[in-house]
Order: sequence, then structure tokens, then C-alpha cells
Amino acid sequence: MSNDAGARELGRRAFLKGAATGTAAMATAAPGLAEARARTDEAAAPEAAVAAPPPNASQIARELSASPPASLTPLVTRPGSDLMVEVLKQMGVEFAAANPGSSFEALQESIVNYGDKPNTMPEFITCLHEETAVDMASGYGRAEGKPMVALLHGTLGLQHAAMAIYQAYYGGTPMLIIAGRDDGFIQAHTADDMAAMVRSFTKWDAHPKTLPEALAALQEGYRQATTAPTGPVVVVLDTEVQKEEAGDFAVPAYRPPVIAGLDAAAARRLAERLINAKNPRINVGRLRTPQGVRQAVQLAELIGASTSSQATVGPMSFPNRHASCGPGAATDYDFTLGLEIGPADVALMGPTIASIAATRDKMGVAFGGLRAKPSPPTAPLAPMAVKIGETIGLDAEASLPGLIAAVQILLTAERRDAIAKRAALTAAANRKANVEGVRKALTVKRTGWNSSPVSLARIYAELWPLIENEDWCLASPSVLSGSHHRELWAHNKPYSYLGLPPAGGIGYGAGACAGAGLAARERGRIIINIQTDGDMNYAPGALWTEAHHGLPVLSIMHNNRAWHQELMFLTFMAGARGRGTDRAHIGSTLRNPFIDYRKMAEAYGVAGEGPIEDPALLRAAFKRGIASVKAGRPYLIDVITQPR
Amino acid sequence: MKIVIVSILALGFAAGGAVAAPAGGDPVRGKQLYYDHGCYGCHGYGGQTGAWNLVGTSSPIVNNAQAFLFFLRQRGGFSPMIPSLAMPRFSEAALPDAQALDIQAYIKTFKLDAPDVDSIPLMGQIEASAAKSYDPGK
Ligand code: HEC
Ligand SMILES: Cc1ncc(C[n+]2csc(CCOP(=O)(O)OP(=O)(O)O)c2C)c(N)n1
Ligand SMILES: [Mg+2]
Repeated sequence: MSNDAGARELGRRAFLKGAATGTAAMATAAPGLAEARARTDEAAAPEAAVAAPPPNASQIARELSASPPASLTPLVTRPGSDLMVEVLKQMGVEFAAANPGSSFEALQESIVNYGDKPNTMPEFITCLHEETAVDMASGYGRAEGKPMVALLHGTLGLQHAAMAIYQAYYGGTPMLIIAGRDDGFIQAHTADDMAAMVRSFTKWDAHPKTLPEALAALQEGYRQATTAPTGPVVVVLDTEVQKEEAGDFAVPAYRPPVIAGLDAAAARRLAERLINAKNPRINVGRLRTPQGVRQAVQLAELIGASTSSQATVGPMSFPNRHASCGPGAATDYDFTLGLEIGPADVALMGPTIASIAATRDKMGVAFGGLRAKPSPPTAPLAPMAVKIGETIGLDAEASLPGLIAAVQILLTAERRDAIAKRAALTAAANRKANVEGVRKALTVKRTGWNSSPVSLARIYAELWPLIENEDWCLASPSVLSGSHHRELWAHNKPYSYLGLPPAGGIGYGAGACAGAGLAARERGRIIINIQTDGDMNYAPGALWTEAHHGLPVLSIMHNNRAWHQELMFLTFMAGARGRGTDRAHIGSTLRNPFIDYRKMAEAYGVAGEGPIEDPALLRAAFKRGIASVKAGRPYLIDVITQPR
Repeated sequence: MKIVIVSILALGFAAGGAVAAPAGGDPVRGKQLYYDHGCYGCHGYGGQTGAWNLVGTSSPIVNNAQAFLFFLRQRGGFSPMIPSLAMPRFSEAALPDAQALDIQAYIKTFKLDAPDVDSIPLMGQIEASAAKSYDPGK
């Protein structure tokens, strides 16, 4: 910013503040507020005041009455926020989820009104709680491997969203958080360093001071969020920058991030080892995007390797019923390549390419599980050999294209022949292992098949034939409902199962499913949500968002009428102390009264049925639910379940 | 580990059964107690879901009163990091013998609530689906 522009900027800010006071003075102060105003007027200190004054009468009047925006500037013809929307479009941001707040009223107005097709790319998604907005970004980010936006209102919105941001950080979920900042309005809603509140659990943040800086920050934020280690980023946008006249300033072109992978020589050496192995194996963890998953499949097919997958525990891993996936015909693997496999699973017979960060604890808070660890070896590959058991600290997904190209060059007709034979044997062995595994699982899971309340295994079993030929995504964390999908269902899509709440925070599931529903709505997919009752009750307004935006989310309540995990903990504690095991339900159950989830859904505009206690009724109910979500209408089925 | 503990207990009482068994309990009272003390929480309302199956077992812990009482009382486990992996202690003060035996009587009424795998058509469908390989080309 030139000095000239800087001076203009300062002048304008001063003007806007004056304008705000003027507007406010005209507003009729509500009775009882006069006193507050007198107090703040008295204390009215210059800009540098340290203590945050309570809101004055005019500010409160603005918040609670129909006063016009604090800085109404009718002369602006090309507001900065239009350019911000332009930047979001360029980067392909499909959605911006928010609970409204005046600190981003300008940006919100641009999203809904600006452009040839207003309110698309991004579409404004209305949330009833900021936690839902960020959990939606988590569900979407995990399903698609790319960010959407969550818009938060200053200090308040950030704090309501904090746990959801924290979980996204643990999960490495890419998302672009925009926090509105209005320094001329209620002081308690603003801060000099707004992002500080969440800095210890975000990957990157910026507080740009000018419009060009703001546009650049949005672009850099997107790059940061999508570059390994992926994660949530925060851009703080001042109202003044959102509202400022952009004149003929041109939106800078977006440059996607350049993510480092193996260099050509290293890729060639690895390719040779893979090609020459008699029984090669590829162990696949979680890649960044669906493109990475496709390339892992391509590599495995080219080599005729057997593979392992983490698709039953989280997104972006290898299709687990692909012919190559399983132990294969023999387990004497002589070369194993790991792709984003954690330290615990690092292959013994070969290297692992993994971008998993040594530590992201840049603030030194030492969050459990993210404490500083020794850096993984990130040295360039030794010139002669690929080391066994070594972790190559590079992004696996970015390494795959080079590796595939190197393999393709080395493939002779003779090799192709041998590979095809090996792949056929692997496929037959894996098919057999799958069928045997499923049969064994069914023998165990059938206990309680006809029991009432309904067994959790029965819910998962009944669902499978009904969704098998649909494009489905299990977006709810499944561990509290028994994770019976792991053995019974095929996880062949990068988004088949979106995994646990990354930091174990309950309340995540409902929002994450709605967010996965955003991705699903655009792509003809349906969302399966096995919804635990405790989780539902933190921010049930996610149901309204599903109804309002036509999200294809089928919620099936795992209604055990408890925070059951806690009931078990309490029973343990009482038992250990030798007293009151019959009182452990106090504070750990949802009884007296029971909650009626069908009515809850109805209140939020979601069709539903239940409570169902007879397992024989499940199939018909699930069919109705699936038909509803396929028609774009969310549906909830309340099922009274066995506790575990 | 848990299997070892259970089987040691089971063997001990199967072989010895030294002391005379206390009188049997009342399953009707037992039903309420099974709920109130949270047994259903890990074993399911009918003893068939959750951490440990209580149905169709010949385990003396289910079938022998003394073994059952011993099993409830002699437990440690102050720090249940993963509660479903082990069972809480139920002391005499928390659950007197007579009440415990009511629960045992109730447990003995449990019956397996499931047909054979082969007689459930749905299970056949799930098995058939496991035999299909995924082809990403499709
Ligand atoms: C927090 C979970 C939990 C709770 C609550 C619980 N159990 Fe258990 N129970 C287990 C586990 C796990 C086992 C397997 C053995 C072990 O780990 O000790 C078990 C084993 C048993 C067995 C042995 C079965 C056999 O095959 O030998 C009996 C009987 C039993 N429980 C009865 C009860 C009763 C009665 C109550 C309530 C008073 C109860 N349990 C409460 C978890 C629990
Ligand atoms: C935000 C948050 N609060 C509390 C907890 C502690 N907690 C762990 S499991 C659990 C119970 C969850 O209840 P529900 O979702 O109904 O699952 P259930 O255990 O009943 O199957 C709670 C409250 C948590 N993990 N996160
Ligand atoms: Mg619950």
C-alpha cells in the first residue's frame, strides 16, 4: 500500500467510525440503556484504550433493532467483498457455512447477490450454531479432500466454533475459516489479534490490512489448507476491507500449491524395486484427495501388488474390496511400499512415503498426542538404495504420478504377463478371505438378531443390501454404534467412511453428516448417519440446515437413551469404590423424560418415524428413508437400541 | 487376558465347587436389578450384545452361584480406560449376595435370540456381496 493510499485508508476509517456513532445516535435507545451509554460516553477513551468498554446504547440498539449498517457507504460501486467472492469462485469453493454476524455482513451480501449466478460457488449455507458450520466443513473436507469456507462472527463465533476447529486440526482436515472483524462496533466482539484464540490449533492464519492483501491471504490460506500437512486455516477480514471500494483493482489469478513429491531419480529407484519384487505389497493409509486414491489404485494394478487399506477406519484410503486388497495368495512380501502409513505401521520390507508432520504444535501447548516428537527422517534418498523401514518425509500423493510414470517405462511385455498372473492369484485369494471373514463376522454378529431393543449389528446388516448399489457415504463416527460396517460393508470410495471425531469430541457427528451432505447433494450421493443420541443433542439445529438446504442425510438414531460410554465409566468408578453401582445413571443417562427424536426432527422440518423397537420393522423404515434422501429430503428414523 | 481370567475361574469352580451353593434367586427381581446396576450396559438387555455374551454358555460363572459371586467381588480395575474390555467390581456393599443371585437367576433365563446364519436370507446377501471385487473402471 502506498503512503498515499495508507493515508486515505486511515482517513476513511476515521470517517466510518464517526458515521457509526452518528447513525447510532439517531437510533432510539431502549429504556434502561441510557445509563450504560452514559457510562461508556464518560469512559470514552482514545483508540488506545486497553480495557474493552461494554457496548454502548447505540451499539446495542444496532444489534437489537432495525438500524442500518454502521458504515453505510452508498457510493461504493465495486465493494471489496465482491472481489473476495471472485477469489473463492476461482479456487472452486462450493460452500460458505455460517451463522450470521454483522462482522461479515458485507461478505455475506456479496455471496448472496454478487455475480452472474449469485449465491453459487460459494453458496451460503445457513447454520444454527458456529460449531455446526465448522463441523460441516469437516464433513465436507473429509469427503472431498478439499476446503469449504466457514464464516465466523468475530471473537464470539470463533469461540463457539473452537472445539470443531480443534478437531479439524487433529484430523488434518482442510478448511478455510473466515473470521469477520469489526473494530468500530461492539468491542467485545473484536480483538487486535483475533486469530490468537485458535492459533494453537490452526495451521496458519492471517489478518490482512488491505484489500489486495486480503485477496492474497484467501489464496494463500487455501494453499496452506490443502498442502500437507493439511488443516484448518483462518483469515481475519476487517469489515472496512470488505466494504471498501475496489475501483478497477484486478483479482489476481490463483496459483495452486506446488507440493513436493519424490524426484525423478528416486521414483525410478523405487519403481525398479517394485517391479523386480516377486511378491510386492503396497500399504495405503490416508491420502489427501480422491485423485491420490485413484493413482494408488493405478499403481497397484500396474505392479500387480497386493494392498492393504484403512478405508474401514477413515476416508481417502484404498478401496477395500478391490481385487488387490487383502493378504493376497502368500504373505512372504519381499518388498513393501507404504503410502501415508503412520509410524506404528511402517513397512519392514521397504520404505514409506509419508507427509505426516513431526509436530504441528507450533505454540508449544503440548496438546495430548500432538506433542513435539523427533522429526521423521526427511533426508533425500540415499543415492544407491532404497532403505528398508525408512520414512521418506514427502507427500505420497504428490509422489504417485512420478512413480507411476517410472513403472510404466520399466514394464516389458514379459513383466506384464507375470504381473497379470500374480494379480489373478491375489484376487482369488482375497475374494476367499473376504467371504470367510464376512461369514465369521456374521456368526458372531447374529446374537441378539431378533432382540428388542434393536441390536446395532442388525442395523448395519439390514442397511447393507439396501445401499450396496447406491452411491453412499457413512459420514457418522461409528465406534459408539459398534462399527459393524467394517466387516459387513464394502468401502470402495474415498468417502465410504469418514472416520471418528479426530479429537474424540462428541457433538461432531450431526454437523459432519450435514457437511458431507453438501458434497453428496451435488453428486447424487446419499449420506448414512448412524446418529448417537448424546451427539445429536449438542447442536441439533444441523437437522434444520439439512431440511433447509435439501441435504440427502438419512439419520438413524442409535438411541440408547444415554451418554452410554459415560454410564459405563461411572459404573466402573462406583464399583471400584465399592458403592452405589445402581446410581451410576445419575448424570450419564437421558431418561426422565426420554427425548422424542421423531418430534425433534419434525420441529426442524425433517420427515421421520419411530421410535422403532422391533427389528422386523427396520427394513421397511430404511427403505422409506432411502427413498426420501434420494429425492433430496433428509429423513430421521428413531431406533431404540441395545446400549452396545 | 480376559479369556484367561474367565477360564481359570471357570476351571476352578467346575473342578471344585467345594462349598454348598447358596439358594437360587428370583429372576423377576433380577430383571430390574440387572438394569439398575448397569449389567445391561455391557451385556445388552438380553445378554447377547456388547462386551461379553452371557447366553448359551456352560461357564460356571453363569451357572454356579459361588463362582458368580466370586467373579463379581474379586475385581480391581480402578482406571477403566476402555471399559468394555473388562468388567467393573460389584462389591457386597453395592450389590448384596441375595440381589446378585436374583440377577444370576435372571441371566439364566436368557435365550439366544437369533436363527442360524444360513437361515437368515439377509446374511446370504451380505456374503454374496463379499465375493464381488470392486472394479473402479465401472
Ligand atoms: C463395563 C462393562 C460391564 C458391566 C457394566 C458388566 N459386565 Fe459382566 N462382563 C464384562 C466383560 C468385559 C466380561 C468378560 C470377562 C472379563 O473381562 O472380566 C464380563 C463377564 C461377565 C460374566 C462371565 C460370563 C462367562 O462367560 O463366564 C458374567 C456372569 C457377567 N459378566 C455378569 C455381569 C453382571 C451380573 C453385571 C452387573 C451386575 C455385569 N456383568 C456388568 C463387562 C461388564
Ligand atoms: C465435547 C465432549 N463432551 C463430553 C465428552 C465425553 N464423552 C465421551 S463419550 C460420551 C457419550 C456419548 O454419548 P452418545 O453420543 O449417545 O454415545 P453412546 O456412548 O451413548 O453410544 C461423552 C459425553 C466428549 N468426548 N466430548
Ligand atoms: Mg447414547
